[in-house]
Amino acid sequence: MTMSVHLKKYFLLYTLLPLLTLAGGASYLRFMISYDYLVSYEVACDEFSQSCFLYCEDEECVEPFYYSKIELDASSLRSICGVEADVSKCEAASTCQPNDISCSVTYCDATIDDNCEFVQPTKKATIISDS
Amino acid sequence: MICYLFEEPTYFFFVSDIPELLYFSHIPATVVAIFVGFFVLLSNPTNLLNQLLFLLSLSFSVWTISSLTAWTNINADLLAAMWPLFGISPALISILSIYLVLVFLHEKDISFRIKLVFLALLTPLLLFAHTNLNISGFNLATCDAFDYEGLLYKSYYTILGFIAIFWILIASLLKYRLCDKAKRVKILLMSGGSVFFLTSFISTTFIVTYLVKIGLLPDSRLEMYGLFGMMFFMTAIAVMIVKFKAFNVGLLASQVLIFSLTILVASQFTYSSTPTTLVLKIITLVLTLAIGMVLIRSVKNQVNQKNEIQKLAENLEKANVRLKVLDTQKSEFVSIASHQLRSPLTAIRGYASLLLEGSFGEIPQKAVEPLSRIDESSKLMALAIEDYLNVSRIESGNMKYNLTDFNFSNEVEHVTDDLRADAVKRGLVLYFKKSLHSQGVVNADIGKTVQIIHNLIQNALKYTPNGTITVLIRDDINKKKIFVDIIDTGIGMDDETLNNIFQKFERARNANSVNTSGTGLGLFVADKMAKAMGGGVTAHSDGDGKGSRFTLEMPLAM
Repeated sequence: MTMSVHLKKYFLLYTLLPLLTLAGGASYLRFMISYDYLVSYEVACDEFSQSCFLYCEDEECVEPFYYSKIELDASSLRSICGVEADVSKCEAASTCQPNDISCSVTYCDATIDDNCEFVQPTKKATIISDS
Repeated sequence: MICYLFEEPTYFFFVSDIPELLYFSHIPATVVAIFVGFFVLLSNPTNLLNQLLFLLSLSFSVWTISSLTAWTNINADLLAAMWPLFGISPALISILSIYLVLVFLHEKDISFRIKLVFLALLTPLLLFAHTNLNISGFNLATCDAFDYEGLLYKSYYTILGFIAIFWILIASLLKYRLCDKAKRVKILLMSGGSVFFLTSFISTTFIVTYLVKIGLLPDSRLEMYGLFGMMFFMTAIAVMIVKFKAFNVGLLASQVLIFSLTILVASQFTYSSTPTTLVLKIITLVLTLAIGMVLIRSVKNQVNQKNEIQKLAENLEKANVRLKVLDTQKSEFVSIASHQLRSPLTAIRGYASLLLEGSFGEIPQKAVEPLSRIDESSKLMALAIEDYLNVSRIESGNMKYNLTDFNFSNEVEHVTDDLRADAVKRGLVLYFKKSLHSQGVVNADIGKTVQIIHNLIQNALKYTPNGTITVLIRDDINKKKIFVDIIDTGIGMDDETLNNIFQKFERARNANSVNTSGTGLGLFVADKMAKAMGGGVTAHSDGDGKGSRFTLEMPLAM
């Protein structure tokens, strides 16, 4: 088999294999080494001061959970919370750090989402006095 | 970085809070794909079709393992790094499916141009797999990246999947119309299986994940149903292997394959089941068993046919041995009979000749013609007996050749001269021509050589009612060969006669119209003798009535 015939026969192997390796290597570098991507998670939200997302375990919503969403760079989160970056155990992750320009908090927008909960200050006072 | 709302898996994949269908859809499909892929590859590693099926199974398995990991693992960095595989694997599956079906349909590798098209389609996906076009972030709360998938990238590999489906359908339909029934069934299995698999796989993975992204579905568990398409495709492959011996997999291997698939499906009952998965498991097992039974019956039929053929072959072998014995006995009988005939015939010929010559006194005029006929007929009979004896000697391997150097040209000329009187008597003109660049010496048995030339010229005399016979002797110094062409203007031969003219008892179909005394052995004997001395005889004719040319070829002694 001549070189030309050989190259034509295994053309896809010789071209796709390097491209696949490149794709795999680049993904590994980006996500596992540089942590160059965004992460988002949910943090507890004060429904009396903000329009919060509402999550209910069941239909009656006995124990409602109010939350907002935080989005920031994965590398920033690691620098705040350490290598494990378990946001449930990292107090600093519950708010955006003042110097972190990649961080943003998203609250519930009632015009888009049905499950928003925002308690008016007058109502809040009633609730506090009742309790 | 971990998904903080989910429990950590044991052994990488196993968590309790997961849809039951996940393991049932992913594990069997992966195991079956890997099993069939490796099985086919190891059966014939150099076959392109086998290699492609293996790569297709491997790409599918990469997708299912990635999917299983995405469902169960909580390491966000790892999952984000793996996420590009959800675009790369379906694209590879699509391209490999087209490649596999095209090679299957045309039974050869695809053209270089199509390979370039494949590369052009895949390159953007591979180059942008790690970029924000594909994935820009990860949601730790839901432990997935659906919110961060690029719609353009996702649409591209999904469209690629649909291109593959249409490409396979069109190529298969075009080929299907031109094929016989057996090939059509194979096309239905291969193309139908791959199209069903691609349709279920590509449509569910895209539609379901898109619906999750826009919030219409809570999670992507519906995509699991798409994986059953692979089971269907692999079953089609298994049918092709067993029923049509596709992929060059052996019969025993096919039975092992069916057995293994049944065990694999049955093993799913060891998992705990919800009513839905239990029903699915039962349906899958019943289908596998039904198809397996049909296939095993087919295998049994093949085994029976094989046994019958073997039995027939054994009987044929016995009959052949018996025929050989009978043939030897026949040759011995012909030899003995010929010898018995030759002795009295010599006396008949001798006395007839003496009577005609007047050795016993003058014979009445009325007796001359009958005596001449006796002499002539006994000569023909002697020649025929000589032919029978020669055939008998050749077939029993008892023909002896006494090789010496002699002038071939002179011998040809002598034989021609000897037969000229006979030619004149038949009203024919017999020419002798010579075009030699050598001395014309050969190393052969002089008696046998003369007999061959005699046979060939006699043959020309017998089958030329009128016209000329030319004996041309020529040589080729470079090839170290000498040739004698006997060219006549006789009855000629058609192609069918030409192909068989050197067989025993073979005569031209129109031979009886000019000569009824030929035995059909002269050319057979001449050819066998010439070959035994390193030469050969060839025949040429432009057709019935257009004359013939016989050429004796002998090696020159130089």
